[in-house]
Amino acid sequence: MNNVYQFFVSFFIVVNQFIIIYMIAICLFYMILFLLAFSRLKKERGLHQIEPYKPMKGSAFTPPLSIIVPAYNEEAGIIGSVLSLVTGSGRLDYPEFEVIVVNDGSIDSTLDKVIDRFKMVPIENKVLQKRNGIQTKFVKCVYRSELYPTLFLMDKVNGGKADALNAGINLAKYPYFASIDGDTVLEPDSFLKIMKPIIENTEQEVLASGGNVLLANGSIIVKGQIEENRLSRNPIVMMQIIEYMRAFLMGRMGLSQENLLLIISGAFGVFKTSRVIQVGGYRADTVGEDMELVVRLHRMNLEKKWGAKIFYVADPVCYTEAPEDFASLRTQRIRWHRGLYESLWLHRKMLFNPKYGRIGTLAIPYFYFVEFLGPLIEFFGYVALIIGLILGNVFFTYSLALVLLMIIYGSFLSMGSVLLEEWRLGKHQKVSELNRLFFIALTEVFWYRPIMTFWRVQALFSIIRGKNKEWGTLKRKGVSA
Amino acid sequence: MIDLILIKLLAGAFFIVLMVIYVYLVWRKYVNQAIHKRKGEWLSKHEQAIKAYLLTGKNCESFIPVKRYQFEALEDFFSAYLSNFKLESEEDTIVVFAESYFAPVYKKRLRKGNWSTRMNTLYFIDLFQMKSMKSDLLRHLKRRKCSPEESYLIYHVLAAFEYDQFEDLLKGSKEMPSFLLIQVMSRLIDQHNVEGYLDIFHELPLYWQKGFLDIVREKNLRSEKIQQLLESLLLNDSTDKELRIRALKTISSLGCLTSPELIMRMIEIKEENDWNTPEAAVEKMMVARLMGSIKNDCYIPYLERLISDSSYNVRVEAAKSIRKFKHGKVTLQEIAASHEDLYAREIAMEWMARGTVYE
Repeated sequence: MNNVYQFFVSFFIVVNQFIIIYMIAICLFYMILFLLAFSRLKKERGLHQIEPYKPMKGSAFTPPLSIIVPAYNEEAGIIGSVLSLVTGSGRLDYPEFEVIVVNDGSIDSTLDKVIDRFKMVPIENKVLQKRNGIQTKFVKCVYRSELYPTLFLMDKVNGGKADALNAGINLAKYPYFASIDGDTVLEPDSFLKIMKPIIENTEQEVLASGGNVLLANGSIIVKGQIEENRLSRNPIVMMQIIEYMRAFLMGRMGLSQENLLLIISGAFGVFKTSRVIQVGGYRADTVGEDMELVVRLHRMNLEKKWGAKIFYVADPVCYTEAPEDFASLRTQRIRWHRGLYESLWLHRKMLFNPKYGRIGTLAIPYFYFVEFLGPLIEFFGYVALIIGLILGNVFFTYSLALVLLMIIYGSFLSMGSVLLEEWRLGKHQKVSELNRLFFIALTEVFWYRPIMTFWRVQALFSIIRGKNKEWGTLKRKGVSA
Repeated sequence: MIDLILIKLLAGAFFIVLMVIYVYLVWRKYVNQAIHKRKGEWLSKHEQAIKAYLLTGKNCESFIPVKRYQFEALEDFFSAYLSNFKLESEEDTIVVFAESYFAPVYKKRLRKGNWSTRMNTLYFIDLFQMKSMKSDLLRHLKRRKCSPEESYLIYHVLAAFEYDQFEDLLKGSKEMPSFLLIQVMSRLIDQHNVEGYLDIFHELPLYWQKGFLDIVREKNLRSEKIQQLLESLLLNDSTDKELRIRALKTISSLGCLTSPELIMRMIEIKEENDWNTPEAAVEKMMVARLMGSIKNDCYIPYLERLISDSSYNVRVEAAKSIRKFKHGKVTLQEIAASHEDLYAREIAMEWMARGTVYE
């Protein structure tokens, strides 16, 4: 009996040490990314908000853009979203573009509303371009607006978001396309901002460009545009705002600088049409189609030696709506984790494969061991902490070390992100809003992070057990009033 | 093995740093809000005087900027004003004002500011057309800290200032992103000096040649010499493919060809080489567009061939061009009814139902 206990003690010490070393390593890693982000932001901070974009707005040589808006049961927000695209604000709109709304077999009145509001008329005998390998579900009809000649509507049989995007790509006639969620709220200069790196770069081909996505919850939105920025009082939303900041500062910024960015948000991204067609479009059978496409573009880029790059714009480019209750947040996170897994699994060949350069040896392993499996280690960290506190004496030191590291990792890094964002943008007008964010970030480690960890571990187990029914659609309120 | 004290220290230090930064940022927020408020008040106080000055050019003494926020307020006001109105001459009131009150500060900012301040300064020098800054700009180009972004912007500014050694300056520079080059060239080249560029066209680097054709098309520049150049580019087999595509595009946009057979001659030459490969699709598409722009009946048989091409874009362009002919609709009807190729019939059907305005 004593032997068993002795064995358990030594084993438990090893577990504790492993978790502590992992936590230290990850804290250091994040701090390095933090500093990388800081150095880039420092340079760009203070750049004028309008003048840099004027030449693009006024030029006939700014490449035209196809904007694809997949819509499935979006009757609440679709009119506002489309209006914000086609009417614009005048001062910083994109010079030439077309908008393609793809109705993915909605069972509500999305189709009728769009047809009615924009006077859509069917294009007779429309021949759809048969592009390399992008097969989609049957397209019933293509419409064109009588009010806005650059607005098109595709009505197709339901096939999921990826399938809808592919159908839109088949209709797109411009060299770049933007994919946008039905509930994405754009700013007048969103397109100019996200296209700038593409336009002003000739040394390297640009496959895609993504940007900083912020959360719109709490703000006042009129006709699909933010009228007043306000911070939501819902703690779940505030935590997500902090999470987005953190992901942006410590993930996207640092990685993108080395062309290692593997995620462009499905809420808003621009892609080179010909290259996406070349790789076969979006994959319809995965839940993480946005990440999967970026990973595949990277993979093809390296396999076929295109020498191209994927860019990330540090300026905020758009807003999106976050879940406001635990149930929908859980659904979203389990879906994300599953999407992450699928992208990694489909491209498992790239893991530690030196053929794929630093994508294979750095970016993919990061997503495997920190993003995907990290929650498992964190989860064991919580378990070890509880056992350690119960057992007491020898383990007390370990438990305390764990607590401190978790606070640094969970709360301090988040508080740092809030501060860095304030330093860079100063977006929240009121001091009270900054205070709220800063102090709620301090509580992250005590409730939000354990919950997230738990859900992700659940997702992990359901993946292992091969269950795949746990994602649904996020219920939308419709952000546009 | 685990040094608890070290971890405690780390956590403590981290926390203190966070709190210090936090206090600083809260303080800064209060200061910024105060400045923002003062800026708004200052602007509303002087708005009438500024507007009156912009119209009359008189009485600017009351709003001469001293503090940084006053400069910012004026810069933003003028910038918004110039989004609606164009500067007409060097005597424009904004130019005069900027030259006398902004220039001294801008000289200092170019020397001392950080990257984003210098960029902002260059944008405003451009916006306010401050020609007195020319020598400062040239000096800044030679500085080591002058980033590529700054140098492109300086070329862009100088192009509007009629700087006479401009070509030497550009030739000595690294290749510019094509979008920026076109911006610069668009300021340099116009109907009056285009002949000069034609004389040296073949000495220019390829990316300049491409940009030049884009400008000719965009500005709709016409002359006999331009026409000769464009046509010679079509017939010369050694012309770069991209350049030939731009020549075709430019001709179809100008809508003029000295002899309609010329394009058929080009096709004959091309057919001996790579004309029937997928790589030639863009060239074929441009040929189809050109034929729709010139609209000579001798092109119809060739367009009927292109309408069954393996590339979708070529088929669309061919159908669109046929539609533009006087009896185009009838021709498309015949194709839709009796062409042996299914794709040709489909695309003809689509374009029969559509006006030529539709892209």
